[in-house]
Amino acid sequence: VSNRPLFAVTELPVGGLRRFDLDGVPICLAHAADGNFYAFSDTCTHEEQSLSEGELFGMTVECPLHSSLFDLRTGSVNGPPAMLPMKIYPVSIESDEVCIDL
Amino acid sequence: MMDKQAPAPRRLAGGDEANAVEITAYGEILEVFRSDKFTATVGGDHDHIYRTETMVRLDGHDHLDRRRTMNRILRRDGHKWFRDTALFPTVERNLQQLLRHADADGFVRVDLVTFGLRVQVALAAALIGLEGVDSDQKADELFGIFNRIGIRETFLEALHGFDDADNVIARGLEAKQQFVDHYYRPSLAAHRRLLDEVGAGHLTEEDLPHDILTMVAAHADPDWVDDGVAVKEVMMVFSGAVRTSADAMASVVDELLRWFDAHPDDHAMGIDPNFLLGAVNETLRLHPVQVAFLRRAREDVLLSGGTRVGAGQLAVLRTPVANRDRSVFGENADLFDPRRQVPPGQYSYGLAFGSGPHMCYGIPIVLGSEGIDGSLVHTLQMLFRAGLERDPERPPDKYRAGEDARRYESWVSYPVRFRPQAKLA
Repeated sequence: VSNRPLFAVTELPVGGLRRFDLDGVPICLAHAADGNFYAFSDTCTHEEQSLSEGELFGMTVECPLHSSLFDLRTGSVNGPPAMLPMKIYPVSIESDEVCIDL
Repeated sequence: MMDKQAPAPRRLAGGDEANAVEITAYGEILEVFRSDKFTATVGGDHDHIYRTETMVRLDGHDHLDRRRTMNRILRRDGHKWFRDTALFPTVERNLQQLLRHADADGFVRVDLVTFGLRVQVALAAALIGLEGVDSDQKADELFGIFNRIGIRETFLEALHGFDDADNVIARGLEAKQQFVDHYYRPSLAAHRRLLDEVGAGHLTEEDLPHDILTMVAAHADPDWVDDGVAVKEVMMVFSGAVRTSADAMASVVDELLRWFDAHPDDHAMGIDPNFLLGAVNETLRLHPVQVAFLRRAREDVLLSGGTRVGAGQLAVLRTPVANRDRSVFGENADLFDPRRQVPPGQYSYGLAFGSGPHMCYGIPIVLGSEGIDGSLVHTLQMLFRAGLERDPERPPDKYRAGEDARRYESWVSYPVRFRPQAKLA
């Protein structure tokens, strides 16, 4: 499935995180401080914890459980104890709708 | 001098040993740690004194909520702040002080265990917000109180009870009250006064101390409105921080000195942070400070390796055995190798910090954000830069109890010396 529209850009404020289950895949969408939307696997690569319950600061998402940090743009680990990068997905805006390419 | 004699975990009646399943395989232990089919609520008869309703005993969202609150202190750069403002100045001050007092032959002789305990008490006091722990004497006094509280004796109570329970608990309750009266309540009252100052507009929130008692005073968690749970939470943080880190530091030094004896070309690596990080990871893997973790099954569980744990049974997770699993750490898993490479996604330190939701709260302080900026690597660098070497006249002393998977070890003393005119770089 490609470019699936998820919601209107106005529905998620800057700094917000929201979880979606797409075809059984938990995805987290972030509206980052740079004004862009980023999509990534909602499950922390360290332990099974939903990142959508965490927090955004700058271009980083923080896991609420052990405070692992991931870069929204690359998925790379910015802070332990996570060791593996998170999977990221392309996001586009079409007709004021946030779309994700799974 | 601190009372460093650690009590032994004992196999005695009173626990649930007949209803327990020992698990030693690395993969199966990880499964249990991560599974919601097991609960961490596994306390024994006296757990209400020590751990009930604290972060280590909560499950699911209750645990996540508490952890999220506690994380406010250490997340992002919070852990760095504690190392920079509490730990490193304490290490440096204590070392400077020690290096000024040489014996007649010019050598400075130090017991690394006493040194480690004092700096870790200072760090734990800063993290919690305990006031009045501003001298070696006060650090020794506070550690002595905690040694009597009985946290270590009751750690595996649910499994096998412990020796001399009536006396241990009577002594523990008395020591706990002493801690509450002399340290906890005065410190909490001081934090509440600061909050009042913020309320009156005389201070801002930025002026408040960045510590656990500030959160307790502000009732950041609904269970901290009265002292019952908050005192236990603070006790868990203190006990988790002090003895374990002091033991780990002596163990790393011991492993490194033996490594340098066998590999003299590596001697200069004692100040290399990446080499020291490898040594720290290997030491934590080979000398974990906990002999086991406990979980209780909520339902019948069949683990991937074929081990069955029945509903209501205790799972005894023997992490010290799993940390030597050759399928994960290679054929030389029993040996110390500071240059060991582990498969991607595996912890270099094994299961020393546990895993799953309850993974150790203090990891950010110990390992830092890059690994090499954690408390152990930094302290080791300072010690080796100052010229630490084994004291040939005073052998180290280790307390040992139990055998094989149940073996418990703790350093009683680890004498070292610094050469004449040693100083901090």
